[in-house]
Amino acid sequence: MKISKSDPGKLAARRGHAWLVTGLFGFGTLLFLAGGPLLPPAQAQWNYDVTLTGYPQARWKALTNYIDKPAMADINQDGRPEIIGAGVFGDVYCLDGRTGQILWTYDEERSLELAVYVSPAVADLNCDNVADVVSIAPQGKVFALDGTNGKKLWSFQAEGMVVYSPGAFDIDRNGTVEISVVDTKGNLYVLSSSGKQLWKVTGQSPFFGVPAMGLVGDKAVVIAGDRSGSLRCYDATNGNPLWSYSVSSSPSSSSPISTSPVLFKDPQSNAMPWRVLVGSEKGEVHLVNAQDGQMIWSRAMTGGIVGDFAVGDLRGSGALDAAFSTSHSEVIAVSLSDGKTIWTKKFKVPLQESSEVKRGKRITRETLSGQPVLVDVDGDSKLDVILETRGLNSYVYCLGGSDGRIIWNYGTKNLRSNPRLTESVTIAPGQDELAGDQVIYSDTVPVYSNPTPLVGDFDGDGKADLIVNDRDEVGLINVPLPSALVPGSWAKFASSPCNNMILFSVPCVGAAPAPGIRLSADRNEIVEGQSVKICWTSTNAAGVEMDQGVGAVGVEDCLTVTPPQTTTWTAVARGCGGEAKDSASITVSVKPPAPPPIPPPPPSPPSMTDADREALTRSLNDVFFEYDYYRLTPDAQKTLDQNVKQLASYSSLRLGLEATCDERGSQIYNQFLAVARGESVREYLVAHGVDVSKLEVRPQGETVKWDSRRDEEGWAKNRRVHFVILP
Amino acid sequence: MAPERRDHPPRNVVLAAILCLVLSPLLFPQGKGPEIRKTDDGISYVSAGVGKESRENLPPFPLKMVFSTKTSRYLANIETEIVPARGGKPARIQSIGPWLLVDLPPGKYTVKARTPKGQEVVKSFEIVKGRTTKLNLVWNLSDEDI
Repeated sequence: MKISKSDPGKLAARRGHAWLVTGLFGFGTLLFLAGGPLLPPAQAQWNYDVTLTGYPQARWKALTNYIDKPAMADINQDGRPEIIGAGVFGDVYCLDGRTGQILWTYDEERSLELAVYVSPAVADLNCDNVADVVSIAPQGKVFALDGTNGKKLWSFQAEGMVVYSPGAFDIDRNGTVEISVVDTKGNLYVLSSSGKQLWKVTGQSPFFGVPAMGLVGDKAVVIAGDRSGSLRCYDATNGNPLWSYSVSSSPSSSSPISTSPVLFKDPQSNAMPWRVLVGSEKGEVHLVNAQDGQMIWSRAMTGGIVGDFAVGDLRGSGALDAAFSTSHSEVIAVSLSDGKTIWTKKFKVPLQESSEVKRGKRITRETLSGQPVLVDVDGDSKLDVILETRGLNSYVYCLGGSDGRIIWNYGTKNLRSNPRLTESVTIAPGQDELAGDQVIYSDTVPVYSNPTPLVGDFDGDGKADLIVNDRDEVGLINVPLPSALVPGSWAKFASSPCNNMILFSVPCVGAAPAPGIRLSADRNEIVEGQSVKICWTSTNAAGVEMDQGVGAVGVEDCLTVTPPQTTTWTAVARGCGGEAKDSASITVSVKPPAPPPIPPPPPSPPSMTDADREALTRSLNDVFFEYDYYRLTPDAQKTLDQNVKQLASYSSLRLGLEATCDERGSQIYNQFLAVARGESVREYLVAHGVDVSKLEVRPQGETVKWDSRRDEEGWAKNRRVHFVILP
Repeated sequence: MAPERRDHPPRNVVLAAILCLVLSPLLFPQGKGPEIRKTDDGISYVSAGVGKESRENLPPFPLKMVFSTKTSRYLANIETEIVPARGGKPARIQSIGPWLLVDLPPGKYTVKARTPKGQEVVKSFEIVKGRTTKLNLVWNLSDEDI
């Protein structure tokens, strides 16, 4: 999907509420350009055998790591958005929006030190007219990926942890976006599209959420709220402070900011129309003039901590409203003109989950979390509110934008033909073990999640699709919404500064400096089989590509290679100002021949005849076990006592203990159970005078079958330890 | 009687069993419950479940994980990483048996469990004071694929 330079939708930034409401008018039109038949449901993804059994209304299901807040962009340029999700460990997934097929995945060094719950920012960073991805890995690493293939473009290391999503906005209006990110050490960074730090400010306390970036009049600004209750506005070009605003009523009454700020233009105000909306942990909502930092109004909510806002025209009045959730399980809609409450929807409060599960009842706990999404579901030209709840049963609610009524809700009951609790029940205490070979499921628990649903027309049929998280198995489900959207409503939907926005390709415009690249190797001559390290640095490059099958690489990185023959490596740096190349040749000489192998030592002569060996083997009786036990029964101990007597005359013999299991249980489990059985026998023999150094446990699991019958009689024969004389 | 030999178990199963042999005195103590061990960061855990006797006399740790296939067959030799949701060092535990009991403090976590072949299951969960959280980690794979 290409956007002309004049398209006003081209500079919209994703997440972080960091863009102007007026910036996305192209969205609705583009969504309805696409069409085409639906593909069959997604086939197996990841390590799972995925089918849609039990999900009658789901279009597809894709299994990934836990994705908190997916983003979307038309990566493969088929006119329909793809879904880009960040896993909690720095992994990123790009899914075809129509089929759920994973187009590419990226794993940032499998960082597992800290889980981060972020939404990636999508923007064209390398000027190929395809949206690229900026995401976060644990331990403060910000990284960018090429949207076409998921290869890393660059990474940036923050001083502290980064736990909020990155923001993107074209600050200098040159056609490429800048990236904002905050860390836990109170730093606010603004990075170039190639990952270089443009400026940094350090606040008095850590900033919360995603900074708002956008235009206030002609001036590009970055606005961020911190945990001391200050909302701070900076000049986006250099980080100079412009104004600050305190949400605390007095210096002694601190109220940390608990939402990402939302920057928008009030359509009903002609003079100084730019506004910032922010919420606090004390449940206050403040509307501030974005030009001078003066309060327009503030309202105290009864519902505790305020969650992130969705802004749009909920009443069809032409004025903007905001919807948000609170920590007291409420959804509140307020008018942004005066801050007055339009409606409040109170959800159920937590109940005794555990006893409810045991009685087989649906769980009533529903905790609101995430950020609402605004979309006109019923076609009445008023935006409605979609949000997810969290609990043992996850629900997705759609509330009428003008009155808060429930239009529909999806939950386990509707998403699945079999509610989860029928497969997750609690058996009486003490019985939650094995019944035969069946695992009896015990009760599941409320899982942590902070989900935000994603709404878009992913299959191009003109109707909204809903992407929700599935907590039973990690992944995403696409569910078509029941109502068609009228085409005109999409612009309004798209103008909501919530997470469901798309950032279209941003072409390079204006003059840009030419890129440069320098490539070097730590050695230019090696012997066959040796490795060499190739490093490169580039300037003014949005991306670097290496030949010899490597492909896209970071703008500054190293690569260790083991070329089998003399090879020349060439790297191409590309940027808005053109491209540059550099090469390095590695000469490979032939490896000298290996020394002749050392001949094996001659076998030691047998200490006893074959006949003796056979006779002794026959005299040693096998030991049998109970099902799924490795303990020795009294009969087994008697058998071992007899074997000890037989072995008394052969103290120098080495004995193999071949342990087997019946076929019930997985192969790997049986292999370990066989070890345990062999060890039981070895311990007993050692305790009765057999030299431990002469005994060798040989676990054979279920790979050796003494009896092929598949009944208890046959299985009992296979649960044994068999004795063999070792050479 | 000569036994019938089927295909050998996968190489990684054999390698895991060799490791298990080395550790077996610790893992399969005769006549007493499995040993409580500690991670480098002092988190106590018990890896149990191979053999019914190893499922007895277990400590009342707040997290109990059970590893199994989709056909309800117990698994073994699972590598786990338990990551606190809001930061902190993950607990890395190699569970020899299909039961893994961990003495975790209350909070929200994500566990990533991996078979010897690297097949992963990820689940998030919450530890609530005074309650045992039972987590079934089911690999939607057949026995042969693990």
